[in-house]
Amino acid sequence: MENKPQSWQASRPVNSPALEFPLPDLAIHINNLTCIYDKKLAVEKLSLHVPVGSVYGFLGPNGAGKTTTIKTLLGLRPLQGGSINVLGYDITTQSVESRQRLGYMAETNNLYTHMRVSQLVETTRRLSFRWNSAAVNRYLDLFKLAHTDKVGKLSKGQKGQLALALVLGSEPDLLVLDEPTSGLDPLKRYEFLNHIVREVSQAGRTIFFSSHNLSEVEQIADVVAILNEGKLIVEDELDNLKLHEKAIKVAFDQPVWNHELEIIPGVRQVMQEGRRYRLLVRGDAQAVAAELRKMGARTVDIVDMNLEALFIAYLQGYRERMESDSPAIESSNSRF
Amino acid sequence: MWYKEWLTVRFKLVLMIAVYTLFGGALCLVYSSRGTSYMKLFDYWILIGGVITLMIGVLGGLDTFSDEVGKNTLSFLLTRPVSRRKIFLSKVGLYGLGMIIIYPLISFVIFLADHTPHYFNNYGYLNGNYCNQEFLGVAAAEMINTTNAIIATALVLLAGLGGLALSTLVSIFTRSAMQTLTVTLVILLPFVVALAPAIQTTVYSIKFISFSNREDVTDFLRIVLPEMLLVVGLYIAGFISFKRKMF
Repeated sequence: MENKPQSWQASRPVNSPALEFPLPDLAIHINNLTCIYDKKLAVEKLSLHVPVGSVYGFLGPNGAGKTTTIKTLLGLRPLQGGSINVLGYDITTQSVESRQRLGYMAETNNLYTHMRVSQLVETTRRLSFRWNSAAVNRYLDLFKLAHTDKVGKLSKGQKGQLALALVLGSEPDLLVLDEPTSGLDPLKRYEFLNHIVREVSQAGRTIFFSSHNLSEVEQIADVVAILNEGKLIVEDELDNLKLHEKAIKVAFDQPVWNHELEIIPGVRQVMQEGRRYRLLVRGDAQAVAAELRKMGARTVDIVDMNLEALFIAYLQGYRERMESDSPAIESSNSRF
Repeated sequence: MWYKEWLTVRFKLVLMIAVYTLFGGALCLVYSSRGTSYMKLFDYWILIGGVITLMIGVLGGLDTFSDEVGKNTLSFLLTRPVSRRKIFLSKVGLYGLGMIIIYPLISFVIFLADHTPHYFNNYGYLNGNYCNQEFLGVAAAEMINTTNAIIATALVLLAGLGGLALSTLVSIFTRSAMQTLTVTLVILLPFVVALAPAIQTTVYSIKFISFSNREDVTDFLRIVLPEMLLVVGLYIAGFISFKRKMF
């Protein structure tokens, strides 16, 4: 690869616990990306590091800048600042090369509805750098899609399956999926994820996908990034987040000021729930719990957080910081 | 790329051939039922066929990009390892090539029909005078008419290709064929009206140009080159717009 990207380990957050990541190279390296969409700043100084071979969940609420980032990554939108490196290629100067080993499935279906399945397969084959006819036929059989079917007559789920067969047929080293399962029923979603994980991630390829469905992200993602208002809130391995991010539910007999809890080392956020408090803690939750007991806490419960809870906590924390006019997050790494 | 475009363009090409054949056939039938005319069959073909060719060009480019933008399929193409130059070339190239082959071919057939002795009238021009071709001598009349026919065919073809280039350029910025048609006509109509006197002069100069003063190549270039440059300019503008436009 040209312009060999820096290692994943080297790009880790400064204060993050030093976890080893087995794959050193980056499939996508976004550095200080700034994008303007509809005359508004859609993405601001965004830096992402997508390790080769990982399943990378790209999360954020509506309007966070996910699709803008993905479209910029694919060369469909201009970037106003920063750089994007895909599989070792700079997308601004090596656009065609960067797309040779990249597969993309759009949020909204982008297949040619006037074609028959066989025509669309042939079109895609001719437009692809690599092609595995056997794999495509196997998928068409599996999904019960006939070559003579008209694409426009297929159901949304079948179109999604056809798009998946086509994208896998080009054997991409990097698969970019923008809300790939939106509109699919739970069974189709399960099957889709199952095929993706089996065919792509097990072959050592990289998946970069955005989704609103946090349970499916949690199911398959190795690394997640959460974006809000065009800024990165966090980027880390999912296991690492779960290991080091905990919630502590605490109750006191005597009233306690929020700021007394906020100054405890490791406490990132304090939320009052009646007479109880919910603390979001990064790092040693036991040490924080011990500190709370010293302060006279009646009950202290350490709770594991799932991705949804983490997502909400990070977003709430971000918004509270913005509302309290505290200095904006300078980079994804500054929180760690 | 060409395969994908062929799947779309082939129906348009069949339609193009059908329109030209029906129009050419109808013209021959109507013309043959009339007596001696001031205008020859080929003149009608150039004048009315010219308008049809311009519209065929415009209609051919209406959905070049707008349809893909409207249906959100352009991302399918743009995320493949294919340069925008190839995408643009295949999109306008196949239909344009169809026009370049089909229109002159049918023009040639009409031209031959026009020169069938005793079927249509056999009058032509020499030094601006309307004369019987038998009087002129077949060779001289053929030379005049052949040169005129080539220049006129080239002009009409360029008008059609210009229409294709213009609607293709417009379709880059619109989201449906109807939007493209509206904008193209808004641009085209004042343009045609403004250029009408110049077109009339050009047609007149082709038709009445003195045989003795004719310099075939020079005339061809003098008359055709400006239009050719305009059409090439439109294609370049379309290509640059497509290359820079973010979808």
